Amino acid sequence: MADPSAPRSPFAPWDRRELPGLFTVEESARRVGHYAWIEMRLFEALGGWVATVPELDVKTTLGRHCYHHAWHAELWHKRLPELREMRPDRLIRAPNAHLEAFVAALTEPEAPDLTIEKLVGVFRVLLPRKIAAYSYHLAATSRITDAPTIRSLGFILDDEQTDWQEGEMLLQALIETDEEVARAARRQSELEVLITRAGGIAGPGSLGPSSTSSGPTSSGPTSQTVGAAS
Amino acid sequence: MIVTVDPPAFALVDFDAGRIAALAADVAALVGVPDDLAVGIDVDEKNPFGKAWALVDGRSVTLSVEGGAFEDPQRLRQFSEAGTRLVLGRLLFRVADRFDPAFGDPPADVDLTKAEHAAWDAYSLGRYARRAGADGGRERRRYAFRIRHGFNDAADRAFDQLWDGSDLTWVDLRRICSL
Amino acid sequence: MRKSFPAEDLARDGRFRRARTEDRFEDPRNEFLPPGRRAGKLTPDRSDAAHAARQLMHGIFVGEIQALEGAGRTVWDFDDDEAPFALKLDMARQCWDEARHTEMSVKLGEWMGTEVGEFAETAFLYQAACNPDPVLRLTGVNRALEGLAIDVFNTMREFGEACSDPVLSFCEDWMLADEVTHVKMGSDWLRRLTENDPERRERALEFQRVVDKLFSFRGFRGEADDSPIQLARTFRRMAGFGDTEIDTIAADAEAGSDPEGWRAPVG
Ligand SMILES: [Fe+2]
Ligand SMILES: [Fe+2]
Repeated sequence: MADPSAPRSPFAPWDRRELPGLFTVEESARRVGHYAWIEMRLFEALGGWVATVPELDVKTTLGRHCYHHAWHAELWHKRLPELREMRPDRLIRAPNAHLEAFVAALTEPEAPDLTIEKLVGVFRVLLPRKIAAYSYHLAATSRITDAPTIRSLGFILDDEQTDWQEGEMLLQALIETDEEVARAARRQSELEVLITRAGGIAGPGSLGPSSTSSGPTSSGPTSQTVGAAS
Repeated sequence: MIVTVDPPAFALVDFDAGRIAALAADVAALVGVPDDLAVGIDVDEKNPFGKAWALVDGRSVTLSVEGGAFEDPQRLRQFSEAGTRLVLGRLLFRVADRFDPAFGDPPADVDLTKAEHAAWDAYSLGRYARRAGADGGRERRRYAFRIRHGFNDAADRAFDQLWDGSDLTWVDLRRICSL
Repeated sequence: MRKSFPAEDLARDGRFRRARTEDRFEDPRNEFLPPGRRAGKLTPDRSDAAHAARQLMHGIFVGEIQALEGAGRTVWDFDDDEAPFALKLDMARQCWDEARHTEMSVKLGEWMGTEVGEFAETAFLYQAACNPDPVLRLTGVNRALEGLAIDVFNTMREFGEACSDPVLSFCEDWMLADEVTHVKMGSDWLRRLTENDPERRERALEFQRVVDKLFSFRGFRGEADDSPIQLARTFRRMAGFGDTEIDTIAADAEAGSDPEGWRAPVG
């Protein structure tokens, strides 16, 4: 074993994380608040829909996914005070009225013969948008300073991708006719318009710098200067 | 064969005595019950439970039925033709066995164990399902059989032999179940 | 999607057949069942044990679907100021649990040779989950209905053990663990939401008692030897029921065997 008194870097040789990130504390908190809001709206809708879908496999899947998104919302609720937001409710809101309009349209179908419309909204429109925004956050934020957010994003993305796949498979199993293909496409297009207007689940900048974003980009300190592993 | 149903008219359930009698005659012919038997069917319409049993006395047979046995499990107080045929098929196969000298000499129903009842029922329903081309509810009968004979491979093999069997004797039944 | 979803509209595929709850309670045959005339405790000794267990299991199956639907509606029906986020989080967790119970019940039904929809379904359980006051809903569902679930699963678990049915006893034991958790949720939320509102707590407990009594009619559930479903005192204590409360349910159940009473909606 190496000499225990010899100095070692806190970063193991294979640990290539660096300090720079695109988000300030406030920006990360703003996004997390929007994430909490959309997760809440989604788990509520999935819970409400359980009683409205006749297909037993869809019914139980919605029940399971309902908890996944509730747990995501809980993770975001818990993260906000850690990001200096002591009144999390202030940030747990839609980024704009367009996203509220999207959620209103998403949750509108109720009739038992509208399972395709319900699932398309969740699995072909909203979940891809969530995965995109979460993946962007994961790539953009500082892997050292915002590590708790990154850890939650990892758990959540794992759920989202599994759930997305399950939902897509349900849809492929349910869509059997040309008319049903057209219904699914129509629904997807209607909702895509709305979420595009919203700019994504965190508003404009869901996949890039937002107008309120002010985090360091290239001018901040790098791991080289603060002691990355040699 | 003379079939009588008591009561002749039902007040609490939507059953028809004539229809029950016709079904019984039909099932009896399918099963091969001797023509000269007099079959009386006593239905206790007040009783929503589902037990049914047969009593043989000389050339007359009494089928005692709790009303629930003929009831459609999906529709309260409504008659189920398919369910009634299954109950009659099970009971009448056992009656026919008792009149068949080749079957042997089983004890009276009251002296049979629950395991023996389950075995004879499986043998009767298996034959009825094949002869009528009907769904005899093989898996739910297997469950009833397992409760009496154990949840194990030996019991399952015994059940399959009974359900698929024909021309078995009372001694065969007991041997298959290792009773 | 509406807030508040009526029981008549619960979505089912073509295999299911709905029976009206009133028809079950007002079945004219009920009055001919003499006092104390019950099917008897569910044990392998009953000559109709297999049929009774299958029928009860199907009742559990549709009950799980309705519990899933009820918990889901509680997540959707109430605004954040009517039901705190933490309560909805518990209900979402219950959705997942009830979804699993539905899956387990389907598998158990197959194991017992029962087809989906073989027996009629009443929406009585879901109806209790339609109360517009979240506290009353939680109390009626998570203390009365889920309390009944504890009694039913314990009875089924013991039945499975007595038959040496390894699958039934295994599954029921797992479901029982979840139901104890759900009753605890109900007990906790009742206490938290009515901490400063004794009048509302009283109304909630009264609603629970009404629901409990309906389940005990004609001794369907009780401590008498011939009650099909036995009151599971130990597990109820685990879930936050006090002894006095359990005594009241037992006493109401005993009174419920009165011939004037309605029959139980399931089993
Ligand atoms: Fe459950
Ligand atoms: Fe439950």
